[in-house]
Amino acid sequence: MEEKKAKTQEIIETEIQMGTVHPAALEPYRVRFFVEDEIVKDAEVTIGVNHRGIERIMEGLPVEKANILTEKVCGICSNAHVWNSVRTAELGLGVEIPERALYIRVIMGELERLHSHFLYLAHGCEVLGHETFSMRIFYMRETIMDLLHMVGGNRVQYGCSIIGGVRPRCDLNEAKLAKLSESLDLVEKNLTEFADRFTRDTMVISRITGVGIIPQEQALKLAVSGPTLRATGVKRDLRTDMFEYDNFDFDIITQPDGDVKSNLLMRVLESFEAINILRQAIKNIPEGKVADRFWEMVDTDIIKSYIEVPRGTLYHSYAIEDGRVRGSIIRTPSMANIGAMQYASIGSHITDAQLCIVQCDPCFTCSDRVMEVYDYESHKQLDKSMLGSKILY
Amino acid sequence: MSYLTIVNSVLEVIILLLIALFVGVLIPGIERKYVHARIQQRIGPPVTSSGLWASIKFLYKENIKPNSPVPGLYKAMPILCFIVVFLVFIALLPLSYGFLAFASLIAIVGFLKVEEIAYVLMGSLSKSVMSAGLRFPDHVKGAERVNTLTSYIEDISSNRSLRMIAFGSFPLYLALFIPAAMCGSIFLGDIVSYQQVHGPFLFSLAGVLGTIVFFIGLMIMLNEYPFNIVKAKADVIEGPYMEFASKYRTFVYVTRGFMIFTLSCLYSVLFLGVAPGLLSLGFIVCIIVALIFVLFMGVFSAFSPVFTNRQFYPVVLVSSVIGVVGVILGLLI
Amino acid sequence: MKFALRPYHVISLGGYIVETDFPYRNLIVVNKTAETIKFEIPVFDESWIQTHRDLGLDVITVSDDESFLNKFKKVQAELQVIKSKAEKDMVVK
Repeated sequence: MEEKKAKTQEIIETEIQMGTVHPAALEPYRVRFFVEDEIVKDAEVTIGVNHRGIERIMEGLPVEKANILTEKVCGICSNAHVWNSVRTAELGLGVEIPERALYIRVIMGELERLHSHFLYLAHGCEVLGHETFSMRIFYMRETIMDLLHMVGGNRVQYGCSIIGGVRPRCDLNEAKLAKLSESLDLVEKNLTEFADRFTRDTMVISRITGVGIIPQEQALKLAVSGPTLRATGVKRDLRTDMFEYDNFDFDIITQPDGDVKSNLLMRVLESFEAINILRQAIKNIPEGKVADRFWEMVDTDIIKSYIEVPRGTLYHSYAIEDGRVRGSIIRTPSMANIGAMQYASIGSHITDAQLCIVQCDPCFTCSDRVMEVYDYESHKQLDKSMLGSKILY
Repeated sequence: MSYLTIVNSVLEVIILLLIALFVGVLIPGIERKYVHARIQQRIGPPVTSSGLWASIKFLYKENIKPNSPVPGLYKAMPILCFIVVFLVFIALLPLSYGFLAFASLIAIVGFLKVEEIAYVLMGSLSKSVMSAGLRFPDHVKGAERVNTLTSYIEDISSNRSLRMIAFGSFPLYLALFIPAAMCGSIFLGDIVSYQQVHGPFLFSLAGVLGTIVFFIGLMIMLNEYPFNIVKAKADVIEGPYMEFASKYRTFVYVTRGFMIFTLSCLYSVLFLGVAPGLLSLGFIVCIIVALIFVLFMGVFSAFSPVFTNRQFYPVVLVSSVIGVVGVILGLLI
Repeated sequence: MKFALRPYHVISLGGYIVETDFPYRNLIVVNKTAETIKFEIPVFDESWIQTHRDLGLDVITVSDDESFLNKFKKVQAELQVIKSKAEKDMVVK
């Protein structure tokens, strides 16, 4: 497929800017759409308005503290960050993790996948303008949030993994496992009904088919990962390489087209697969302790750990010196998918443009936090009076 | 006309207006609480909060000077829209049927056109902070295409409103002329009296087609989901209304509810032959029609995504064709 | 996709680098000028460094065995000097 980028010589009718605050975008980013008769010819997405530099803060912190800090990187995949950060240390230190702890980590990981995919679907439907679908998914997601609360003790920040296993409070007894199983049945039933209703809705399907296509070659060139890559037909899932998933049997879901429809259906089908993994985990969870506390802190070289999280591949890497973190790097899945978002919006109608960005499951909070409004001309921090509209007193 | 008649008429108009406004501000609440929330299996907001209390609340909010080249004109637009809807409402009352040019379909079409043009003006006059108005370093070193012409998102809204005038409102106007075709007159008085003799137009094939087309036209006119491309949340956010705050937003809210009610009255007059008069069953019929419209609008909007041009054009085309068939059938009767 | 780097600011790229085919572990990007500069992310290959040096940014590479923190702090200190000098000049003007 020919690359769909506007030639620089081409006359662009006008430029429409959106953001950094916009209801279709959950996070602050600035988009410049170069449009011609409401069709996006080129786009430029700018992020970084919330940059906090969490890797820099991690530098020199004790490993345990740094692990907890990584949980604050993202509000959606918080468990994934702490899991991978802990995993990095464990790989470096050669810590043996009890089998039961691995199962609990997988359970948390898959529950988080369900919650992230449901959030994605709900947000996607909201940007489509279909409030009812959006509400229904949020309704389903509540069940998952309750389960996460039950296991982790919190709805968002669970703090489940520690070096050597999981926290004892996250251990699962018979009652909790029964509750998990029961709730999953409910979620599966609701999700099946939703998927059936969604795919039969001709209006919704006509809105999402053929919109925001990312060709497979382009996705590979832009180093896209996770469900967004699999929605273009590439059968690549890092869970197949992770030792945590050795005892689980699951399919890698792919979709053929790489458009919004493929991306949305991708998440729906992957949610079923996540439920399948969870069922296996509940059924086969071994007895035993949940954490190995007898490990020794040693200095290590740079350690790298890759895991598959709901939005793609998460990469954590650091070295340990005197029990402290050195040279930390976190590459979140959104960072890998960033290039695709801009690309996907080119060629679509401007009402669909935000949808095309949303389809790649952006999560800019993964690296940026704390906003400061400033005037780039005078280099001063902006207050209310310097904004475009004046407040009358 | 005696002095007493004039006083009586003025009093009647004021009382009817107050009732209409009250019903109008309750309409958004009814739609959100009893239609959307029920469909979406949630409790929903209190009925009075989204229309009535929101309107009152905004009266007490501090005002923001809109970022507009002509703020005065921009702020006058909601008031103009309100006046236009009020004029349509008066034209529908039985006491104005004597003023032939005023109580005719041509006048009503004219008034509604003013309303549509107001959207275009509002869109082009608003320059909010939500797009180019935000001081963000867009055209700096390293940026792509640094010397391009920039537009505000409200400009898109304005362009879309212009297209709406060209084709979007076509179904509504076609539906208005189906009763005219059936009774052979464009005067509201004639249309009502014809139906009082021959029965409501709704119970004929042309009337049913007219009702369908009128309903679609009504939703397009009100920029209701799924036809709300003029103020789609996915790109233009609130569109022309973005910069209205405080009492001007109250006007926007009140006008919207009032317009739903007025267009329902228009339907009652044209297709049921029932004129909204004080102390008559007609007014209650109008309220019931408004509630039925709200119910259907709520159901449609809850089950449909926003239409882009790809979906919008075919819907307008099909409903216009139905409208034309309705007019032809009306002429043949 | 761009990242807006404000005047007299420093940022370490870290996670914005696609590390599969990139010789350095990290990049420290410094804007020593008085204007905001936008740079392209993510970083795919080595040519990015030269392109952005040409744009007016200082790009400092950090390899696996180098200390990121030392380099970062050094750059920050240098930047502080430049910034205070620029502010002084502004006051004089």
